[in-house]
Amino acid sequence: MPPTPQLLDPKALMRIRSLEMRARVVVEGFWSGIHRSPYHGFSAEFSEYRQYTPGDDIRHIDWRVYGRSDRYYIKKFEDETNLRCQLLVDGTRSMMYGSDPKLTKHDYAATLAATFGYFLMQQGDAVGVTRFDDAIRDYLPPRNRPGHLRRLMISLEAPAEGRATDFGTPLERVAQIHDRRGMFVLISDLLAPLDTLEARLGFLRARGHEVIVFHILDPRELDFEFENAAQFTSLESGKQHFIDPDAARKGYCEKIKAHLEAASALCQRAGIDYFFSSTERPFHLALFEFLTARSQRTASPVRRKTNFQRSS
Amino acid sequence: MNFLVPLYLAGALAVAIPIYLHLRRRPPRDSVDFSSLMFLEPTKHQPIKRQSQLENIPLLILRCLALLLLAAMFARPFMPGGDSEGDEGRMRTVILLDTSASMQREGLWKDASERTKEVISTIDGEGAVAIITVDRAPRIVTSFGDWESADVAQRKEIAKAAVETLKPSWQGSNLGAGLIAAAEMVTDASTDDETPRPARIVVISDLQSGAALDAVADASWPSNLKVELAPIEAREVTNVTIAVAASTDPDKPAVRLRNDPASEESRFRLKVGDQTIAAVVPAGESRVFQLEEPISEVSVTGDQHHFDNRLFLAPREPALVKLLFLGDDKPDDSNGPEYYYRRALALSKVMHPRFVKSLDDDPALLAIARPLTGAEINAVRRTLQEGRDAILLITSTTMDRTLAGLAGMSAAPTLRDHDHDRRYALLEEIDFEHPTLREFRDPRWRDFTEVHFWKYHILEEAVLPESATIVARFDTGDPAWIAIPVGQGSLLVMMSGWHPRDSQLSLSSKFLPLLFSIYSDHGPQVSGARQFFVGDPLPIENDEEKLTLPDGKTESLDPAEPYRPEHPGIYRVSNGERHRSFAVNLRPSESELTPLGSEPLAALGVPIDRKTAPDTAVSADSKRKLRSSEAESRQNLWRWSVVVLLAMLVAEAWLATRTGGTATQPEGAVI
Repeated sequence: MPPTPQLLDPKALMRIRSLEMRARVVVEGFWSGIHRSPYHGFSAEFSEYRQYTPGDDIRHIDWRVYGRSDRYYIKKFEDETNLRCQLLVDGTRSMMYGSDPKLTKHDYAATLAATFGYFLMQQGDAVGVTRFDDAIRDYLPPRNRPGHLRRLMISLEAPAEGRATDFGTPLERVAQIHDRRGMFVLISDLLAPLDTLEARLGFLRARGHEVIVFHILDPRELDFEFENAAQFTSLESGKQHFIDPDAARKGYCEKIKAHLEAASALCQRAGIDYFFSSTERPFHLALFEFLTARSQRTASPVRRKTNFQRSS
Repeated sequence: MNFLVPLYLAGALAVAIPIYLHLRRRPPRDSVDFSSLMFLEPTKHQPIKRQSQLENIPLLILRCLALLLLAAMFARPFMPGGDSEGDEGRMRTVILLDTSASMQREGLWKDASERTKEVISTIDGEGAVAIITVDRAPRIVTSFGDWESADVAQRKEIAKAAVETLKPSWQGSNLGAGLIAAAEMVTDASTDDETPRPARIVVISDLQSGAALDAVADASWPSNLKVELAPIEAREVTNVTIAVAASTDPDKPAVRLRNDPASEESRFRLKVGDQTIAAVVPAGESRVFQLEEPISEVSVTGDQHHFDNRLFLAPREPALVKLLFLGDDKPDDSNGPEYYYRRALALSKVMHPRFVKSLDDDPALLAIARPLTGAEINAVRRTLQEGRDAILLITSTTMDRTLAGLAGMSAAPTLRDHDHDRRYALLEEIDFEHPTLREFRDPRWRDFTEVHFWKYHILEEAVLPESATIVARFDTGDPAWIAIPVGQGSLLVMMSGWHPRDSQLSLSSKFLPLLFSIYSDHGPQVSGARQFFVGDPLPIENDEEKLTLPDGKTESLDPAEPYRPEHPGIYRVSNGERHRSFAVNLRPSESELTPLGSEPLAALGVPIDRKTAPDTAVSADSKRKLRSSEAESRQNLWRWSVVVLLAMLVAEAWLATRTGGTATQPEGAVI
């Protein structure tokens, strides 16, 4: 069933207070069973014991239980997931900006991440979340267990408090933690020098991980349509400048455009899927982009250069 | 307009602060949050105010006025000339004269009466004076009515003559009640006034700390009333007081000597009968002395105030108890039960027994050891129903009718002699929880095995009334002692005699406590307080008609009116055959002589006139200050200042919000 456009308009969606409910609304409008795990197996995560029935693999019989009880028991483990996805969400205070106070970049990013998380967990993938600013503030390893989604939502709902953005240390640390191949989805406004970002994303990519970047900006950050001269306070650093918008607009727009292009180019160079999204953009489009990127990647593991900003 | 504390007006200089702040060039206050300033260059040229002049003049004026008002408020403004000097001549004066026992101290009463006369002398032509004395309770000596009805020329003399007749009493001091009575008198007098007249209460008292002030705590005072304190100070300070102390042995009373904290002496002499005991009590401390024998009066010497140096003690007197033993044996026959009964309840320190011969004499304690006639049974039963206790000893099988009649059984029970086979019986299943035997509840006294019973009678349990309780049985299982409630009293039936022919009970150590335990519920009360204070009502009973005062005079008593002794000493009452004595002493609070000062009264809300407060110096300058202070506290202009100030602050806040809204956009921004 196609989603109702009004419902998926971010501003309308933000009226739903529960993050999990928002994610469900987006995903269920989209869900059509297009992604299903073709694999079965045994992983390291124990689930329960089950009595042996002929036909079971005798390798999985727990001999210690047999020694104790003289009965054959199969040790059941959780099914191995297809995908281990880590959502990297920017937790700096700059994300708290929103020209509409009810829809900040943080809200948008959290809903987007929740949507991805919910979607992936629905189909049995393991999802984790990392909130960072200049260091990792909150980390949930990828899991697909009952209750994990709830923890995921709680983590995403926490307000962004970071005073500085540094992609270097957190991404390096995340790369160290995740030695198994997986997917990383970075959701950020990327309002920081991009030098370290390129290096770190390249590092992740080099370790065989899939990386997708969602670049979130408020429309006002793109056009700088302020009316009055005022003291502008940086949410992130707390610095203040007196700025007259009429005078500063031109220079600002040029710089932000250059920054977006630089980010896009950086991702292209590193073979990373880069999607730009203003906070006005419906979530299902972002989800669609995400799935398109996923399916294309699954179909062809060859690195491709994409830039969905132009298409959006 | 004057100011009580003009120094605070210097605070008005603070108006410079808002003026400076309004002159200052402020940076634009409009602030916009933005995610990051990394792509923004600060605008070089900030807007400049073209003219350097005051901003928001109305706001500034309001702020300056508020500060000025605040400074004025702290300086306590008042309007001079508000003092109603002209009314002072019409002042009503109530002289509250303390006549409590503490005023008996050396020289105090003389000073007090002179001071009273001085106050009367200062009354102007239109003024009025009333005199109230206060000790345990206030007493009106002369009222305003008396003053106004007297001849104008004679008024003062009459009032002074009335003061001459007064004497300090031995009562405690209830100064609070005196103040209330004086205030009520002023209120009553003011109701007839066309124009309100000022009034004052002049308290002439030693203002001792022992004075009761509870009454004034909730009082409301007329607005035109001031209370002037005229404290009378003792010339000497050493005082020791004597009071009863708790003693474990009632025959050896204890007394406590307490030396006043201000005393200069610590060596005193305690006079007990003919003996004199040296007593060293440091100032502010107390010592307890135990006396060797009961005595009716103890006194102490060595201090300078003698009014509280005597203590009267009422020696314990045995209570008169009427007893009756109804038996066949002679009282001096040691083989009969009465012999032991009389000896057990003999004359002692607690009981003065009087054995009567007939039930008509209304005996308090009763024992029966013979068959009674029908009339006797009815009389005993009546006595029991009224709440007396009786013991019924079953000494023969012929007592069946007596038992039935007293216990209220429908038919006489069958009594049988115990067929003893030369073996004695012992008590068992003793109900120590029963009130009759509660004196033996302690495990130490529970051993009844030493009491052997040779002869007893057997009663069928079934015939006993339902309310009967078997409090002890013989070891054969037969009932031994049966408690039967009859009306308000109770009957204890013993199935064996206590005399040696029947048992060892009377010769055992249990006998005396047993009798006292049986009679303890309804027997005469031998204890009871006999120490009283002057002014307390004495617990005189209706039949006591004659009272002997400490000085030997006798008075006849009116049973309807409680008798309150007015002097310390031993009071004796008598109803013809019984004599009781009560020791009446000075109230201990009268010996708390530390001067109170005006603060506790002021704290209780008494409108103390500070011009005359004892702890205030009265130089000409300070008098003027006091007048100012009084005018200021009467006018209370500062309270109005607070109201105006609050209104101004509200207006300021409103104005600031209004102008603040428009001021967010800096004017004349030039980039």
